[in-house]
Amino acid sequence: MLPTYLEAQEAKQQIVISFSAEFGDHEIQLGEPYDWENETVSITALKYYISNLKLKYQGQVVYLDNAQAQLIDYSIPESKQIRLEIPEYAKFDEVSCNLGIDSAMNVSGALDGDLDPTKGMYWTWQSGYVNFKVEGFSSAIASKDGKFMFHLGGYLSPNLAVQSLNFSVDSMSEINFLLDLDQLLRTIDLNENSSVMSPSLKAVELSESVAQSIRIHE
Amino acid sequence: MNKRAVVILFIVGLVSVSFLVPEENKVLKFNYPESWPKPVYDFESNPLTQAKIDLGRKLFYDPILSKDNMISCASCHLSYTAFTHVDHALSHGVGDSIGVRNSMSLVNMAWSKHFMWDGAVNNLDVQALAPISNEDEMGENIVSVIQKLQDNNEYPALFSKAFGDTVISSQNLLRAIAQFELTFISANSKYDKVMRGEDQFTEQEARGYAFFKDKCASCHKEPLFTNGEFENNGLEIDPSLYDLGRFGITHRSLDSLKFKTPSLRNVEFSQPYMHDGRFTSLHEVMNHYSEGIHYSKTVSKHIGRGIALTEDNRVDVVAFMLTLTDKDFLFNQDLSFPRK
Ligand code: HEC
Ligand code: HEC
Repeated sequence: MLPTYLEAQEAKQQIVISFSAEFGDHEIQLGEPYDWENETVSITALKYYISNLKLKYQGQVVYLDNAQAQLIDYSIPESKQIRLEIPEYAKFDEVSCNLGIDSAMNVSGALDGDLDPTKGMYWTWQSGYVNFKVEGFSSAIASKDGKFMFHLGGYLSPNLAVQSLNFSVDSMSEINFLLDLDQLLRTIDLNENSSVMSPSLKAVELSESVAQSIRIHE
Repeated sequence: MNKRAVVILFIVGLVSVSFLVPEENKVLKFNYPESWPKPVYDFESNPLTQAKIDLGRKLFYDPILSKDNMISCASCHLSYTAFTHVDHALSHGVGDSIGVRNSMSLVNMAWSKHFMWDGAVNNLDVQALAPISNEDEMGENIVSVIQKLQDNNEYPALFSKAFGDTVISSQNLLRAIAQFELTFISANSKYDKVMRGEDQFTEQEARGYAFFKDKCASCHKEPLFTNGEFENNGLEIDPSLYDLGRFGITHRSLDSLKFKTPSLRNVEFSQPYMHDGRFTSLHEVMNHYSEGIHYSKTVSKHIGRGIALTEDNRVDVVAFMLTLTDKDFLFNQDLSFPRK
């Protein structure tokens, strides 16, 4: 027979963390054109890694997700959610995670699961994960096809691109991370800079802009 | 049942299970000379077994990894020439805007912490992704390579034998190739025999060795003949390639024109020399160190404006470098094309 304290531990609460991205007040649909600040913009790919997810209470970690990382891919609805089970009595007031993959995991060889290099988020000619990828079209870009592509990553200082996200939350059972694309695109002059494809200071700067464009949806 | 009985039964169980493990799936010890430093490769994450090494060997020699099914790893890394490409100064380029480079000799890979001339690759396991995906090298992508292997009539069974899974994953593919490369150990040259007291240098080799220890070994450090670091040894930049080496990865000015110090083991057979294959003989290399140094801010202090070498010094040092040839390695049948 199980001792009673083990049984007590069985009682769990479910926490669902979901990831959304909005243009104006619309949850984006990949490939849909949006009118935005005198431009027409569409997003064709949006993918990023969330890793090292933690729930904290008064600064103490109460839950540490042991999955290595989750790839949030807007073309795969199921990927936009992380479900956690924590003890029923556990309280938390903060959620924190990394946007992207930290340096240690970047040098850990051939990984599997969401970190499998076949997921299209690994640079092959130079080791390292793409932490955040957004691709699309904008009428503001003078080039023929009007395409923009940002593959942000880099694990070596000074081009270390991983960002940490920390938000206060009240023990809620549903937490929604919202990426505000208006805000993000406002920080980038697409006509001047429509592509970043390798680790660089520019990639770090854009990664910071991405992190600042994420908030908890109340 | 008392505790001791349980423990004994457990041990008996383990022993009988280990009898059931086929020979080719037993974890192998990575053997290397006692006096050598510890390898940096993480064998715990990828324990060596004969089945995995054999699979890696088959993959290394199989052009199935390339788009047109014509080029294998061995096309550029030939075992008889210390796993490098001999007649071509420049192999094809790796990566966007990086330029063209000479193929590297693959030796004592378990001790390497950075891969490629500029250290673009940080772990042996993921190195193979670079040539497989490079347009100018194998022009494939890992997803379709896996599909081709999965559809092949031999590979699913071989992956199953090695990894217990007929479903081929990139992780297992990459780990198998890495395992084969880890077996490229060269430790039986004349130099090694002399160090073990089994042989003797000629007078000329001994003079060359003394000079080498004094002037060259800070970078070409014994016993691996590389310090594993990035150094600028004073090569003048080739304006048509404009290859800044390590700088291309770190973007730090102090890394400009630095390249991974190559091991000199089997250097007799790894010509042409340097990252762009600019020298075809060891004598030219000696002339470079003596008179050809192109001084710039990042040139190592061990080289400065040049290492003065008399004509005799040059001949002596070359004679010493020839003692790094390891015929047992170059002609090791376990490393050559796998015959059935
Ligand atoms: C077309 C020629 C070519 C092919 C094919 C090729 N390589 Fe290479 N290899 C190179 C070149 C060139 C370099 C140096 C690249 C650089 O510095 O950018 C290199 C470097 C390496 C290194 C790094 C060695 C070190 O000490 O840093 C390893 C390991 C390696 N190759 C293994 C492989 C494997 C495994 C394959 C097959 C999957 C392969 N190569 C296929 C040309 C090739
Ligand atoms: C400051 C460090 C340093 C010193 C000192 C040094 N080397 Fe090198 N050596 C290198 C580096 C780095 C390379 C590769 C450079 C490149 O390709 O850009 C190299 C390349 C070579 C090569 C070509 C190997 C190949 O496979 O392409 C030979 C041979 C060589 N060195 C011999 C010597 C000898 C002999 C001495 C002493 C006279 C010496 N080196 C001193 C760093 C050094």
